[in-house]
Amino acid sequence: MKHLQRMAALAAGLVAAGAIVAAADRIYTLPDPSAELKRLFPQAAAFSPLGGQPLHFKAFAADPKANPSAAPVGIAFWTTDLVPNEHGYHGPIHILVGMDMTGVLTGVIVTYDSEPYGYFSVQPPKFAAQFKGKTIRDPFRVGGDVDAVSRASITINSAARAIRDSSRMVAKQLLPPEVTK
Amino acid sequence: MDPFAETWGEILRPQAVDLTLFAAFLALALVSFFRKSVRLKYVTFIAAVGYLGFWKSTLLSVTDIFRVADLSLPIFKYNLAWYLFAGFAMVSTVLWGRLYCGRICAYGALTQLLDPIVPRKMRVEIPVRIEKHANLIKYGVLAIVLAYFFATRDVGV
Repeated sequence: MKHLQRMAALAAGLVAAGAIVAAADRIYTLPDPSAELKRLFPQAAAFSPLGGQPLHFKAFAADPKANPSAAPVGIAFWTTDLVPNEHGYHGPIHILVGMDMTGVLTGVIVTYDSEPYGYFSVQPPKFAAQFKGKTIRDPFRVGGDVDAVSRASITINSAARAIRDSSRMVAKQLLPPEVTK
Repeated sequence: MDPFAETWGEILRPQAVDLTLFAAFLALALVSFFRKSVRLKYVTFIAAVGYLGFWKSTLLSVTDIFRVADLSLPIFKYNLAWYLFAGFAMVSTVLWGRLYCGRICAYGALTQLLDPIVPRKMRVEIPVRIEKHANLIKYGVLAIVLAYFFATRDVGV
């Protein structure tokens, strides 16, 4: 009985310590993804800061300061801003997605994950590479047009869904209406 | 109308195989547990190691404590098999005791499978006096792992 009480006290102490640490906010998203944006839109001359509703970056072919009426050539966004409730096996997977103005993905970059099996699922470059050229109308089905990874199905499914759902949300709100008709 | 709206069929179809296999495995575990059949017990162990251990790599572990601590749970409708697994483990433990540890956990199944295989000569019998105290080590390890996680938020412990 005494032993049980000791264990219960230990568990309570750990939970309390955990709650205190959990209360502290932590932000893993890159504060300045300039290099990543350039990788998604190599031809772009300038990018807008993160802003708008939903949150996004605009990619411009020419500096918008010189030509303020120039239309963007593409849009980039964080999946964590668009679908914050989409969690993998442990927490959200931070993915920067680039999309042109016709709803075709120019690329995706996984910048952070806390998945126990992330090292063989979403971190290898071939995971991100398979999304380049996909359109918002593709199924993004793991085991179909997205490679399945045995033993990491929750992680892979979550990442593929996050890319699919956030791209469609952005397309519906920021691309010309005929793209999502 | 949302052109990308998902139907329940589209949500359930990719999960159908996992849900079916998992329900079948749970049924096997329950039958072997309540019938107290030794043969079925070993069939369940082999299924636990092969299906849950090697194929699905699914078991309740300290990682699940991290998830609950962070309130970071997967979306229900896309992860039905995992919720069935976690829910079954909790409910069955409350109702029947060590059904999870004794039949379903792949690690437990592996050690129990080794039991009849490893020759008696190779075994080391630990005196009860030491074992009683050594039993506490696991709580110490758990405390260290949890403290490390809460301090660093690193799940790769």
